[in-house]
Amino acid sequence: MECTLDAMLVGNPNCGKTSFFNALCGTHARVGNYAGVTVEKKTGLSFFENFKLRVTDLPGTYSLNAVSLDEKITLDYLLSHQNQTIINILDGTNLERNLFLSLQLIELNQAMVLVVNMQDEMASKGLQLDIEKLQGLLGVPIVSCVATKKLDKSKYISMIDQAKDTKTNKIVTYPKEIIEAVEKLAEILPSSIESYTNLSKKWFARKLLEKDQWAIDLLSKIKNKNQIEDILNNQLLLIKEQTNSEAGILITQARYSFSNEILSQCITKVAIDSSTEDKIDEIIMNRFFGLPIFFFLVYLSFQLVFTLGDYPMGWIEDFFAYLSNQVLLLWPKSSDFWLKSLIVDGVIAGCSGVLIFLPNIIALFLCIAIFEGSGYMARASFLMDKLMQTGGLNGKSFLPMSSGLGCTVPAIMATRVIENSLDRFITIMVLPLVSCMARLPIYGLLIPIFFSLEWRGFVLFIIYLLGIVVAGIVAKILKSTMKQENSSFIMEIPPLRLPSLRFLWIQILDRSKIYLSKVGTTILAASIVLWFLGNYPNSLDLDSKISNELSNVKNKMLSDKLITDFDVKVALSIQSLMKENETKYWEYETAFTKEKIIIDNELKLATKSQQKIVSVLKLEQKANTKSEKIALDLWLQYQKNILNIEDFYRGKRLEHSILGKIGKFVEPVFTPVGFDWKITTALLGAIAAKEVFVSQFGIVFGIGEADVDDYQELGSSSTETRLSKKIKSVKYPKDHKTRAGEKVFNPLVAVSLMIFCLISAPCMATVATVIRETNSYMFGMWQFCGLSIGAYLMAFIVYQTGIYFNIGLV
Amino acid sequence: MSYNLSDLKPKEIKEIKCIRDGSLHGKRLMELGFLPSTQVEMIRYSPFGDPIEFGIRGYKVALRKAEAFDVILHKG
Repeated sequence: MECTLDAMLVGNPNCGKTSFFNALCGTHARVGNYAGVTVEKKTGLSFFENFKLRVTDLPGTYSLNAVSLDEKITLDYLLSHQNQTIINILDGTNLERNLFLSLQLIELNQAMVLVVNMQDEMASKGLQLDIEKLQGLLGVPIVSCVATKKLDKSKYISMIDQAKDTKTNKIVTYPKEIIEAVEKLAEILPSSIESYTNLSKKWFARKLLEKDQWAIDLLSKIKNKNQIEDILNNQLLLIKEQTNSEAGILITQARYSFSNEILSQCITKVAIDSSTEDKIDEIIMNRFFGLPIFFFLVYLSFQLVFTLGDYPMGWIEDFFAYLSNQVLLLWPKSSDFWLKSLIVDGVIAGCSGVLIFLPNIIALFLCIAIFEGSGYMARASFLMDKLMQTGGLNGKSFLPMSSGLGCTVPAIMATRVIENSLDRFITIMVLPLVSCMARLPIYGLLIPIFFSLEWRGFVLFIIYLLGIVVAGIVAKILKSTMKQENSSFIMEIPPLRLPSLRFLWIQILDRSKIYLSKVGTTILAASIVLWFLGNYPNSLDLDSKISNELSNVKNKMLSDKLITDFDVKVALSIQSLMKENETKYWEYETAFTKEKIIIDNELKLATKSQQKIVSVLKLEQKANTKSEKIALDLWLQYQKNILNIEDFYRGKRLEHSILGKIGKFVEPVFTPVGFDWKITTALLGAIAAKEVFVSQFGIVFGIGEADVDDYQELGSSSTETRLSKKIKSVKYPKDHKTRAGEKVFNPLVAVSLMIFCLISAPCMATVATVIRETNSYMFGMWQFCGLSIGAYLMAFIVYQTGIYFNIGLV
Repeated sequence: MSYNLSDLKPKEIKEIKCIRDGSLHGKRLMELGFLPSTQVEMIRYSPFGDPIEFGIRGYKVALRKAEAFDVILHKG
């Protein structure tokens, strides 16, 4: 028979609850070496023999008096699931404070086990804990563990199973004044309080004496509220008179001294020199060097994004170029219909354009994982608090904002650790200004085109920094318009830890998974939709236009006397043959270039069924080797011309499509910031998800087409991507009103575009999260509109200034 | 004039006397172990002098001056 156990993980922040959860359930929930990584409850399953353990991971809390939103989640869950077993995780290196929470949990009179985590660190700190003695003193089952290592599930599951029926009656010895007051209050409390809380009147009375907000709120629901309040105030006064101290202080003190007393009986400390951490802290948190070191590390990370990402990017690009060529070659000649274009120009071009940036993302998140795992993030927010305050933010906003480098959605949720509701609100409003990983591809695409390698990291750094500065300005403005509340910064500085390779690997793996799954879903869908919008209605007869252009090209080449009439005939006949049987063409081409086999027999074998073969064969027999070569060159030129012509008409087709019409319609609005209508269409796609900008960019600037040159270049790892080559050469059409023949892109346009993307409207998922977390549609819409307008204004200022001072135009 | 946690210089260790009456974050500070007769060490200032890092009960915690002001110390 299967036996289901329900349990929850409760403990101080950063004591290893989520690590324990992951080890028990085999999950990859986010962990890090700072307080406040987990901000919502998560349930996982763990199986052992016939046991099924359903365990809920909760945000960390220092006590049962919840202050911030994430602590309230824990308290609410705790009080509404009293039939579950509490797994109280303790940081073994900081037992005194961790036990302070345990004592409050014990008072809930629930089934409970204690897990003392970080055995390894306790040993290296010279702390020895007598677990059996502690178990005897508390009356609760206790085990120790190292949650970051593999766990023996059976041990914990069977212990949780046994614990569900045992309850401890061990209680803190409170001062007699408190005990008396508790008794007096409990007498007049109605029994309805017991059914509300499922806890004893005495417990509730103690909560009231602590002036706990939750208990006071609950009191308002009770009939004889006024009478209780009177007695409560009397008792509080009485205690003050008798002891010259507040009831809350006495209770807290009693718990701490109880915790102290217990520990003094079962813990021994061997003196071990622990100055290494202090020495490192002396440098990285130094009053004068701390900030420069911080900025240097951030700069270094960004430089690493480009240097580490470069080679793998080339490989990924080559792979997709090969893939589209294969699709084009293997596609049945007779069925040249829209699906081929959808696959090559829509799906492959769209997705590969985004996938190429995976190495950059991995490089950035490797750096962030090192910061998070080592405990540096909390230190950085200590260093940054004052700077953030001058920007209307809070040092505690630093952690959500750094997590915003990954994705804005969880970052907005991470703001729950900020106690002050105004600070939290402002942080949410400016969070989209922190560039998320979806925006990294945009910078990754544009920066290498216009900046040399040694400047790339710096430019990227400036872009990210600009986002933060704008965030600061916006926050400052928001703060000045709203009523000031008292904000605070109370933050634990975790010990420095060396992040394990496993931790780094899991962090990178998870980021990559998120990125890849987005490519497989949102980006794929958007690419398909945008392909249709960009190709329909198809009002131009592409083929006839192309053949017209081709004959023009032929005539021009003839009149320039580049080739003889005979060569053209050979080439044209080969070409017409090719047009009918493209697959065979590639075989010929290979034969020509690689082995120079005479093509007669090949032709005979390959196109027996074709009638035209006869004439070709005749021509071929007459042709000497030299003219064959000329014919081949000519063929290659033709191919190039076809591509150019096709590109041109594809542009025309895009222009006449729905997307093109929208883009053209909006273009005048974006002319003052330097964007043409093609860029505008990509910006429209970016509203769905930021990555779509890059994929749509790939589509409108034609990365998907198999290029003869590319085919020959396969395997050469040039650091310049094919898309970037095209982007550099794109020009405005000759019939453009204001910029005929000018290049579409120059460094100034790139900067203006990056700034626009940095600030512009957050993606749909972000808008939805803001609406949920602020409980207001209005705020979500404000943010959306405000950032869009702000993006336009910033890009406008930068672009027009550049034009005026003639900066970045070449 | 009371002698507060915010008056400590780096490396100074002092004993807490009490938490200031009506302190907004007094409860949280006490829960973190800032209680009478507890030893606190001032570890370092941040670059702009605020917040300040303290060592208490074997761990480290950063407080702003405003919060540290609410922790009153024994002189001497």
